[in-house]
Amino acid sequence: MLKVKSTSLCNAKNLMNSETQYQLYRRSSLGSTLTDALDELISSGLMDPQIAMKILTQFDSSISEALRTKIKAKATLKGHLDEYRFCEDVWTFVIDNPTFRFENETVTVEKAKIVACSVKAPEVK
Amino acid sequence: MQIPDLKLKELKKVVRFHDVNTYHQAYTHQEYDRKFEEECFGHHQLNNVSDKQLQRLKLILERKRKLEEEQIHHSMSNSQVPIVYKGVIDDVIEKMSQHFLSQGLDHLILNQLSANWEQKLIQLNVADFQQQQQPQDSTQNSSSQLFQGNPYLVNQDLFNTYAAANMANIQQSINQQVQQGAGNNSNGFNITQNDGQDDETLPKSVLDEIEPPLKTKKNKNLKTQQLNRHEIDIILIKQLDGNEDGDDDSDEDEEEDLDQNLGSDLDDSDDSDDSAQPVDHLILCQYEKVTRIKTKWKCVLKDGIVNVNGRDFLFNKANGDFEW
Repeated sequence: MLKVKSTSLCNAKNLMNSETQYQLYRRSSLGSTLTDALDELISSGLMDPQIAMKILTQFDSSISEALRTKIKAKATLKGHLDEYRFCEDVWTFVIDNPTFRFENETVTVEKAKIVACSVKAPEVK
Repeated sequence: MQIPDLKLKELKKVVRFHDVNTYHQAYTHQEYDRKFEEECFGHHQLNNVSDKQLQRLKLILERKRKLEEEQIHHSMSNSQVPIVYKGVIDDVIEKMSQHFLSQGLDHLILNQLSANWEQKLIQLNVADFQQQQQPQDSTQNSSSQLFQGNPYLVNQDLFNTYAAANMANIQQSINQQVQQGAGNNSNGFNITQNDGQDDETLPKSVLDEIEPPLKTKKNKNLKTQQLNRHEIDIILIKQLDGNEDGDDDSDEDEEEDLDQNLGSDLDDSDDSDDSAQPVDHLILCQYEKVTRIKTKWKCVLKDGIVNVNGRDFLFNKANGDFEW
């Protein structure tokens, strides 16, 4: 059964910041902990929200840079494709029983979600 | 506790499945399977295994599985994660401090942010941050070295220890260790600060204000994992001291003791491990190419952060083969 979700669920427009870095990685453990830390500082009145946005923007480019330059590891991923959708240049896959094969470790889980932006950054309008 | 209605074959299947995951590097599957069966089932006639024996076996296997998971935690491919993450944190803070300097803003807030951020990350326990930050902890180092050196040997020892050791003793030490473990976080936090590029330390009040931001779910996970690590340490220490009697078939009384202790402990960790919480496994990455031929999908993915089973992995390139 095909389950392509409507475009309203896509937020690709929000995925690029002004320096054309993806905001995608803010959802990672590293990004979410930064967001939490910033939230605390903002809510306790120690930080200006605009500064926080700047820090997040800096995080976007730092993490992209680190992933591009520091990581050499390869991985393979197999599984049953349960859902897929593609809009605004963002692919989302939901994989049933995926098997991850990393350098020296294999992990199988029940369900995993992949969110992937295009390697080629779209032109800034 | 309910006696699980588990046939021996099913049990073996579970074990084999797990071993394939764990040992595909260190051993060929067949070899490990054979050794494992000798180890577990060698003493029993396969056909007349009682329910009680099965139950005990299952509990021991479950425990063994947890120990193995912990072993992976020490030695596996996400070892670069702490280094890379630390690098990103430092990079963000450094770039922002330039900005702060030019804008004439208070630099202290950045130190606080950096410390806060690192602490939250350590609490998430997506990789082994503690080991990186506490290289002076010889127990932990020796345990990981041992594990890397000869996983099978150590595991057999662990297995024997579990089968025969006085569980009440271990239980007690675990409890103590858990309490210490709770204190460990702040430990790592302090060290983190000293490691950072800025030598300024935070006022004590700031430290006190920082509340654990995680959902209870994550906290539970963290607790379980710490418990496991400490268990391993305890066992290893015991082994080094030569306190354990490494005989699998000790008298029935001890086995009864073991059953009860294993059962209760296992229930606790199981609750927090799988059944209660569906873990969100997420891969954030970029795609180079996505193609489809009929129902077969192929993806070439780049620069990914993978979070599975509460742990992070990073990849430069990944190939995905999916069937729809």
